[in-house]
Amino acid sequence: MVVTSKSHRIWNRALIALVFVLVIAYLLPLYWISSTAFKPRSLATTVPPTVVFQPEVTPFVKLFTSRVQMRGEVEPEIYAKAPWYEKRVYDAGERVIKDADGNIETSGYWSRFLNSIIIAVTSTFLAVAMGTLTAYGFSRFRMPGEQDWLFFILSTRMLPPVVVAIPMFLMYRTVGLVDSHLGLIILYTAFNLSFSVWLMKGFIDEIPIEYEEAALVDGYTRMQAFFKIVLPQAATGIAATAVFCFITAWNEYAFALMMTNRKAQTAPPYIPSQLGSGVTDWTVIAAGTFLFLVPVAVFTFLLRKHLLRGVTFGAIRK
Amino acid sequence: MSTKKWSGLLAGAVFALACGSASAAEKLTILWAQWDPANYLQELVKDYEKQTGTKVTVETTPWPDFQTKAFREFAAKGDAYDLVVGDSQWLGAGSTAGHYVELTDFFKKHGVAESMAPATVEGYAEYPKGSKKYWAVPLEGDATGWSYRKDWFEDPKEMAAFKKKYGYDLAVPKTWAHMRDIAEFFHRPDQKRYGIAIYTDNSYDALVMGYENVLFGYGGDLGDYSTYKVKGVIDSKTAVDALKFYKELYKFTPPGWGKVFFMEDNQAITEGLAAMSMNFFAFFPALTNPATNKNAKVTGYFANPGGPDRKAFRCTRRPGHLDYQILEEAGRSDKVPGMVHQGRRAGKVGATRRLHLQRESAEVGEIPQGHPVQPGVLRDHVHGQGLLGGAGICGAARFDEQAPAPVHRRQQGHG
Amino acid sequence: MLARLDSGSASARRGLSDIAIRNVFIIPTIIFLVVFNIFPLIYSLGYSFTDFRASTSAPAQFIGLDNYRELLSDPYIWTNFTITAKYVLVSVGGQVLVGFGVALLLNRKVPAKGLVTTLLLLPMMMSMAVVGLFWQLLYSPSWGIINYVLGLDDFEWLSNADVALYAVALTDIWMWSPFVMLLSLAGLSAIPQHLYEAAAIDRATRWYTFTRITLPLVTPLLLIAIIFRTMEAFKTFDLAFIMTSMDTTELIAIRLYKMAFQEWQTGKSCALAYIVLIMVLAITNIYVKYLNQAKAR
Repeated sequence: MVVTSKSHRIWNRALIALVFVLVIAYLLPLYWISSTAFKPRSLATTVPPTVVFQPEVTPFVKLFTSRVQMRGEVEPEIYAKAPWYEKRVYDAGERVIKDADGNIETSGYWSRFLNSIIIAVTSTFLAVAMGTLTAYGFSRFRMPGEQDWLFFILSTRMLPPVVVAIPMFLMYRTVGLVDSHLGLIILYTAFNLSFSVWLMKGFIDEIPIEYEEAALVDGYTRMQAFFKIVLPQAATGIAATAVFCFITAWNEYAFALMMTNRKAQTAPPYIPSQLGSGVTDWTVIAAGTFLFLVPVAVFTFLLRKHLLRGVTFGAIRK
Repeated sequence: MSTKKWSGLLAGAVFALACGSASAAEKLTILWAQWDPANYLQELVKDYEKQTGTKVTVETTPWPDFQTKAFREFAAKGDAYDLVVGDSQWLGAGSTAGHYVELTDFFKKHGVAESMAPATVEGYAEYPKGSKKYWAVPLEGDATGWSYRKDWFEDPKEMAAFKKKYGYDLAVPKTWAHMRDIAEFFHRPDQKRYGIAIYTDNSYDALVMGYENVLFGYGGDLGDYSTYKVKGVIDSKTAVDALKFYKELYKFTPPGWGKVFFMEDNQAITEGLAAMSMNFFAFFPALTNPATNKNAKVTGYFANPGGPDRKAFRCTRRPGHLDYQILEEAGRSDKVPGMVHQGRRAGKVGATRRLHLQRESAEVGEIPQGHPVQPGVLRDHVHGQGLLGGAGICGAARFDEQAPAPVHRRQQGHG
Repeated sequence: MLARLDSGSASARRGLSDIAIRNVFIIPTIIFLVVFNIFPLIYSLGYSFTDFRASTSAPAQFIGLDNYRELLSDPYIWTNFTITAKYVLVSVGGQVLVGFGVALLLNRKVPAKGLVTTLLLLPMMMSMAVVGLFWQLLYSPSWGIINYVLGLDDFEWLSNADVALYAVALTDIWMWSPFVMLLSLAGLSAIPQHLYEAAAIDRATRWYTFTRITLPLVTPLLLIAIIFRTMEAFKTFDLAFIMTSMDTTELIAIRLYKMAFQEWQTGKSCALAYIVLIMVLAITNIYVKYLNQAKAR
């Protein structure tokens, strides 16, 4: 028996080692994105790939500025007077574009990032608010054809974006919603609503109905019971749902590609459209990607306990 | 004819005017493809900003996506852009579908047609041909040329080996056949060194642009421009031979070269992959810049070689003509002729209008056939197409800082 | 299963009636979804019988079923469907193999298991567009890290027409295997330990235990994962669109996008959208059926 248990232990250790090797290999692309964001441009595409390098913030400076290729060298006096971030751009063989007052012309990244935040936050709020109410309605009251309605709600989530986008584009252009924040907010709310209803229904189903009954006996109206008893109980669920909705809206690409051009364009279609001129500047792309992925990484970490539930539309709880 | 052949390369500009304010807009947005000229334009419009207080932003999108994006904006009747520097082949679709504002009156008022060569106006501003209706102010022309590794070409050992193998001297190719030999000669996958980088992307007009170099060099054409017949021309023996030749060049490209355009072709030089690389002149600034091209000092440039009968097409161009008047027109929408779209936003009276500015190309600088291009000419070409000569508000000088004077330049009838 | 509030109770009669509350809570959502999801589909059904082109100012002409007839007899469209089927098969198959395999590995005492699981789940929370963009760099035959690490020299991933689709599928596998892993882990951890103990007493082989105990008990959750991933893979647009534009990687969603927003055959694209829609609804039906079953357990 001792022999088998020993071999078993070795086997087990080997498997655990294998797990860690797999995890490292698996995370390599993520490391590569992050490291490229801190590389000098000349080291981003080398044959063979560069692994060890001196990290720098130039890609982030370039990400936020509008630049042109330098011809020849920069004059030493100008260089000496330039602030550090401008020096970084000079060092990279480019110079920033300035207006008459000497203000640096910014790139479009920041406005896209801001659009992403506005659209994702607003649509998340709407989807979760409406979803919570609807979930409560389905959870606590009888509704004729309930399963059919729930299926209908879920099925709207399953529609391929392109299928919805074609008629939406035609409708939006008649009312002037193409390339508008409101237009994308509506689309993302509709897209996330079904998810929010299903997930929240799962969370609300778990809240013992007795709490509300007790409240009703104490003289609360049903509305009061909902706001004072159910909502606080469902707070965790609401937070988890909101984070899922936020990530979905944050990441969405297809609708944003088809429905926006500039004014309401979000980061996902913008990042792949800024490849640099002359030679693809992977460092700037990586910097843009890196900043865009940070919120997702943070939220994923916060969400880790609810991931299973989220990806199964609340059907499976752990 | 040569100008017409290049029509595909030439971009125009489209004004898509925001509705609403009839007075000067405080902000104008221009959409163009992503390349250095667009960055320089962003810098140039600062002068206009200084004069008028109107802020102008140049937005860019990669070439392969450029047409889709612009036409989506047209179809949406959107107001995200006030001006789109469109490609010349959009002229027909843009004008007939009602996306472009007719500029005939503008042309007359400012004498645009007179300031350019007739072929330019015909090719890049007028639609349909001969109608005297204008939709664009020609802005910029460009042509493809080649960058090459001077150090590889001038290496005595390589020169001797080449002479031994092919029986003639290793030099910048004068014919396509020479180019093929040189590509074959330098193609050494085991050394991670490859012969040639050409356009192969099937998106936008990349592959076609690459092939056209050979096609025109061989004396072929895309169709008969007087009868609009394509059959019998594009499938002629000459055209097929040219295509076969272009396909043969593909044998000597770096690995993974099945879907490449400007960026990758430049990278073939910066990463030391290829001996020769095709690209538009507008993409060469990145190669002349030591910060973006570690091989900048050993990179040379030459124009397209000639075909089998030494017939070689000429690359022609002259500085463009986007003058600030057009920007002013964009700011004062009520003065712009040709209202196209009625106001689309409820509660806002106004109109979305589009002006199409197309750029010119005329005979100014001619790249000598099969000879290395001097840096001055290169700069001239890059800058020449790099925008605006025109109304003299800002000249090419703005770009020329610290660069030597042009070596080859023939000015012709340029206002 | 669930106790419902007794709508007849006296207290509930204070304030709004239960039916009113239910309607106020539910109906806005239904209306919202009908207006922004169902109405557009009705709208596009109309256009699918016309030759409408949104890029021109020409009015739409009614052409009956011509669009559908053309599409269904178009060999290229069938090629797009075949490519999509191939992609679904490879990518979902790969995800199940990798995801379930890793779940089996992780289904034991592993140090820092929570952290490991969370790290593995990171890619699936990311934007497909951004991931696709970056994998272009990783796949580069000349300066990509993948060929360097795997010693593949200059193997062409994305520019070889025969390989590109699988390269995209591989990225999808990288992103979504953890999804299968997550569901499999949930299934595995729910298997009662006493079943394994009983099998050990009977001196059952590992293979026997696996096929007779593990697999059957994980299957329901695995099926949900498979159906969900099948549906998502069928709809794939972002990843393949960003990474390549080969004929051999033109999934049906990409064809649809090109038809609608590049070629501006608006009427025809509406018709194709309907064909795709019917397929998606069929898969959704199956998915919901299994989801409800899982819930009922």
